[in-house]
Amino acid sequence: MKKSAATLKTLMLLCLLFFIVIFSGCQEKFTEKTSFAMGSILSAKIFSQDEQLNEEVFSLINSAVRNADKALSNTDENAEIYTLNKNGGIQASDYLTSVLSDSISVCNKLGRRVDISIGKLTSLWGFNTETPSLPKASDIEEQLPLIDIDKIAIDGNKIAIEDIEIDMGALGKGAACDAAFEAVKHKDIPFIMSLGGTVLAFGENPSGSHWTIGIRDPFLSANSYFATLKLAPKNAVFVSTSGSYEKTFTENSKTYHHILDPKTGYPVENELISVTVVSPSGITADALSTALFINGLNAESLVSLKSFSSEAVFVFKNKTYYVTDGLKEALELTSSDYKYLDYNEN
Amino acid sequence: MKIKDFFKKNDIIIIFAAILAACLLLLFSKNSSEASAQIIADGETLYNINLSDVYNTYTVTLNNGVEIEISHGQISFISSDCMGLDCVNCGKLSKPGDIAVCIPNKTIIKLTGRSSKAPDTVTY
Repeated sequence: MKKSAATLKTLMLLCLLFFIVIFSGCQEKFTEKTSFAMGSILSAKIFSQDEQLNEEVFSLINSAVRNADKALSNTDENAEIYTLNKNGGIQASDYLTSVLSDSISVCNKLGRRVDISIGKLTSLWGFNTETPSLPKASDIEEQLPLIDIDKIAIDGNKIAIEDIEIDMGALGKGAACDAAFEAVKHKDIPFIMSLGGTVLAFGENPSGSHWTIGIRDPFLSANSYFATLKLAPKNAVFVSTSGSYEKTFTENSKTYHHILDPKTGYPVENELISVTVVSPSGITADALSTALFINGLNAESLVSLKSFSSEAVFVFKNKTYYVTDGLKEALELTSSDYKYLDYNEN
Repeated sequence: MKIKDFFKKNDIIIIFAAILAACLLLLFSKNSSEASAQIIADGETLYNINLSDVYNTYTVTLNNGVEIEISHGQISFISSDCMGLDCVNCGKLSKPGDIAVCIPNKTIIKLTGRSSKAPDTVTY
């Protein structure tokens, strides 16, 4: 009797120790990869227990982003848009045809606040180079009438442009995230990726009930965030931020940022410092964040968000922020420097 | 047989000690934010440094001319020939998930490790 009780106790203790070992080592495995793509940084965390599978998923993401860049870049001599801008017409790939059609549609729906036919103006400012500079006012004036999305003609896969150049800067990373999603969704493995700050989260985060995405603190260094969004997408969710703290230069004691208003030709000047958009598509997340930054916080911007089933966080230079209803529960402030702006639509 | 007859005092001490050890292990693993720094240039990982093991501040100069300062728990770009100096302006990295990039020189400093507080990524 005594012997069997001792054996039972030993067994129970061994079971307990077994669970302790399993429990303490029970952290979700993931593979974290980083590379350069589209002139910025591509990073991804892929969550399966099989490292080889994670590598395969990253390889698919990486290839999709690089292929998107080969279609959308206006600086790579081998890219389709570069050739289109140079020659005025091309027989385009199905991918480029589809992305341009979608982009034109999104730009039109947003009242052309964001416009992909802005290429000549962005070249004038040199934001695609390492040495951007303030152009002459007369040169900017000259370019304004030439910004016209109607001058992009799509006939099947034949694409032609007239007097304009295409710059996908405002939508390109979102389009590449869409391509990455299409490339890996069949694997059904949860992952989160960032391409130059445009984020795609897919599936359920195995480490918790949601993905946690920091929103950069515009007043602090690049890795700082003032709030987090806790998102639990049923499928995929895209998050994009436009901020006037990115790609800046200072000339004659004035700092200029890269978000150009296609209607004035100059960097947008309003009370906003950043806009973050959460959307079911990469292109719309990117386009909305730029368009809303340009348009400001008003009824029109909120209607635009609704029409794309998207939500947003507006951050102002005076360290106030406004969050749309659908994100209120997901947003958690991590800095006490920021105050909520009680914006009333009416 | 009653439970108190089955378990002796020593058994109960062992069980409580094991449960306590499990709780401590779990707490430690959740709150640990010990960071390792990876320095990657041209897609190749050149250094993997456990920053908590660094006690003296030193500088590494890469073949591309980029200079990186490493100290206890911190790492940063301190010099680069790129125009915007975005990499240097990133300041000191200290938390898992922090990243600084010199795009013209294709150099990345990335802090890995687990931290219960760090977000999965940051949108900017």
